[in-house]
Amino acid sequence: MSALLEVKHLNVDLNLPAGMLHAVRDVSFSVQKGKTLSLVGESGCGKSMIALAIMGLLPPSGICHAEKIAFEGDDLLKMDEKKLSTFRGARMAMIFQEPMTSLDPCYTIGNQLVEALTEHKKVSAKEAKERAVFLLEKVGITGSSSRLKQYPHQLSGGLRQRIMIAMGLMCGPSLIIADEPTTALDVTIQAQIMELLSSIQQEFNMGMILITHDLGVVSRVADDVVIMYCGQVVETGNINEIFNNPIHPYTRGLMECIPVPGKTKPGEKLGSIPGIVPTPIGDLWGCSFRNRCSLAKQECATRGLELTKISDKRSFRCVIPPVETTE
Amino acid sequence: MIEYALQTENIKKEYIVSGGIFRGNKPLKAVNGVSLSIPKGSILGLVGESGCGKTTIAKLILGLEKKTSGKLYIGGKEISAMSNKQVARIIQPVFQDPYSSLNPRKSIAKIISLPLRAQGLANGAADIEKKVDDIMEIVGLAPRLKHNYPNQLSGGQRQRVAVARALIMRPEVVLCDEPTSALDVSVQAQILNMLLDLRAELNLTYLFISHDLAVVEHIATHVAVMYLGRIVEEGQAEDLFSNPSHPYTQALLASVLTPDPELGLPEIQLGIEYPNPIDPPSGCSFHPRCAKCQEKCSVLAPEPIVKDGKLVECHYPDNF
Repeated sequence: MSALLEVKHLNVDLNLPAGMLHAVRDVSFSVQKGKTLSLVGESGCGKSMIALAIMGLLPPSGICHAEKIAFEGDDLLKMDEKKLSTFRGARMAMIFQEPMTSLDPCYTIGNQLVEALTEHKKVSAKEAKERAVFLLEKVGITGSSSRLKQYPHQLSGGLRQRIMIAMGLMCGPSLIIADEPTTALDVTIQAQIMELLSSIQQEFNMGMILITHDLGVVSRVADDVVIMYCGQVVETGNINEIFNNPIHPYTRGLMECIPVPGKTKPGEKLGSIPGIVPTPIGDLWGCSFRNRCSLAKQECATRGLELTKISDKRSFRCVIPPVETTE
Repeated sequence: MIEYALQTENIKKEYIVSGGIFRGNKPLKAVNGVSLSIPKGSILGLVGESGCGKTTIAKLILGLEKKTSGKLYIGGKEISAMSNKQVARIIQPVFQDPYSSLNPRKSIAKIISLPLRAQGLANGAADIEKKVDDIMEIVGLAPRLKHNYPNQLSGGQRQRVAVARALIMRPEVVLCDEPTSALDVSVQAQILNMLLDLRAELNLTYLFISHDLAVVEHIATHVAVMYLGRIVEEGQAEDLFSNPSHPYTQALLASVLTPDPELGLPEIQLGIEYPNPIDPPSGCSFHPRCAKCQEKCSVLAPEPIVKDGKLVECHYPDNF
C-alpha cells in the first residue's frame, strides 16, 4: 500500500537578516491512511515549518527544497498556487494551535464553517449548513443551530478548538495536520479534544500529523513518532519502541525531564538537559545536540550527520552506538 | 506550634461586571471565601482550571487588587496594617510569561536591582552591584549577561532573571504564578530544579500556582484544588494525589496524560464545560459536571469538612 503522504528529503531555509536559518534539514517521513504520525520537539526545532511547507503556506522568506512531497500520488511541489489551493482545506486540512486567533472575529461561526465547504465544492448554502450542524454535533457541541449564529468571542477556548476541528473536517479531508491542538487548553479539555480527534480520525479513516512538544499526548494517540532537534530528525520509530527503548541522548533527556506522577519522586531533582536550543544559522557541522549532550565525544563535532537505520521505521542520528536499556 | 508564613481567612473578591446596556451590573465572585494557611518552608500548590480564581488570589496577596472582605496575614500580621512596601519586602512574585514581565528597556542588572533601589535597602552602587552578582550566581545566570537586555535572553534565562529579581531582597515567601508554563520541557525541568534548590538554600516558602498537576505533584508539599472561587479539596500533596476525595480532584488527576503508550486516552466524565462565574450553578457549584451528583447536590452547597489535616467540600466524598 502506498503512503497517504510521503515527504522525502525536505529542507526549509529562512532568509533572515542575520543569515540563512536552516529551519528544516533533510527530513523524510510518511503518513499512512488512518494512522497518526507525531512530530515531537521543542520550540524552534522546525516542526511547524514542516507543516507549513506541506500546506504551501511558508512565509515569504522561506525557501523549500525537497526531493518530493507526494500526497495521494500527486507531487505538491510541482503544483502551482492555483492547483494547490484546491487541495488546501479540501483534501488536507490544518488545525492551528491558537483557537483564539485562528478564527475570524468579524464573522459568525456558521459563516466560517459554510465558507470552508462552498469555497471548494459546488454545494448549496443549505447543504453546507446541514453539514456544519452535523459536524458540530460530531465534535460534541450541543444546540448547534444556535451556535452557528454566534461569534468566536462568545465561545470558550475549548469550544473554539472544537469549531476549528469541525472546520477542518468540512470538506472531508484525507489528511489532517494538527499543530499543537491542545497546548492552549486546560488539562481536562485537552484530554477531551484528543479523544475527539482520534475517534473522528478512526471514523473517517484519515491520516494525521500531530505536532506537539507534549510527550504525554504523543504516547496516548500516536502510532509513529519523529523526534526533531534543531531542524533535523534525531530519532524515529513506532510509539512503543520510542518510549520503551529510546536511543538518542536527546530523546532520553526529554523523557527524563518531565515529572510523571507515580514514577518521578516528588521533591527530587528532575533530569534536565543543560543549556538551550541553538539557532541553526550559518554553516552547520557535526551533531547539533553535542553542546548539550552528556555523552558527547570529540567525533561528535565531525561525524554524525547521517541517520542510522535499524529497521524499516526505526532510525537514529548519533555516533554513539545504541545502549540496550535494562527496562 | 506551626508558624505560618502566609494565611488567608475567608477572603472574597467580587468584581462588578456589566451584564449589557439595559441589564444592569452583576457581581462576579472570583474568589468566594478562601482560607489557606501556608506553614513556613513549605510549598503550597494551588491548582484548578483557567478562570477558577487562582490568579486573583495571587493578586490579592500581592496587594495588586483590594479584597472585598476577609483577612490576610503575612507572618502573623494583618496585611491591611502594612504598607505595600512592607508587603513587598516579604512577598515577591514570579509571573508566567517571562517575555512580558521584564521591562525591555532596562538592562538585566537594572531589572534585578530595582527592588533594592525601590526599598532603599542598598548602601551605594558598589553594594548593589555585589548583591546583583551574588543573586545572579545563585540562580545560575552568567555574570556577562548583566549588561544585556531581556530580548537577548532565552525564555529560561529570562525566567531566571525574574526569580533573581524576586529573591534579591531575601523575601520569605515567593509567589510563583505558572512559572514554567511558557517554557519548553527541558527548560521547565531546569527551572523546577532551581526552585527546589533555592527553597532549601534560602529557606523559602512558595505559593505555587499551576494548572499542570504533574508539576505540582513533583514540587508541592501541600496542595489546594480550586473550583469556581472556592477550595474544594486541600491536603498533604502525597495524600491528596494518592487518595483524592473530591470528584473534581479525581477528574483532574484522570485527565493528566502521563507518557505511557500502553494506556489509551482516559474517559473523563466532565461532560459540559466550565460554568460561567457570573451565573454560578445552584447548590454545589460542581454538580452539573459531577459523575456522582445526587439530588441534594443541586440544592444545598456543601460545607467544608476537615479530617486529619485534609479538607474536602463535598456531600459524598471518597476515601474520607
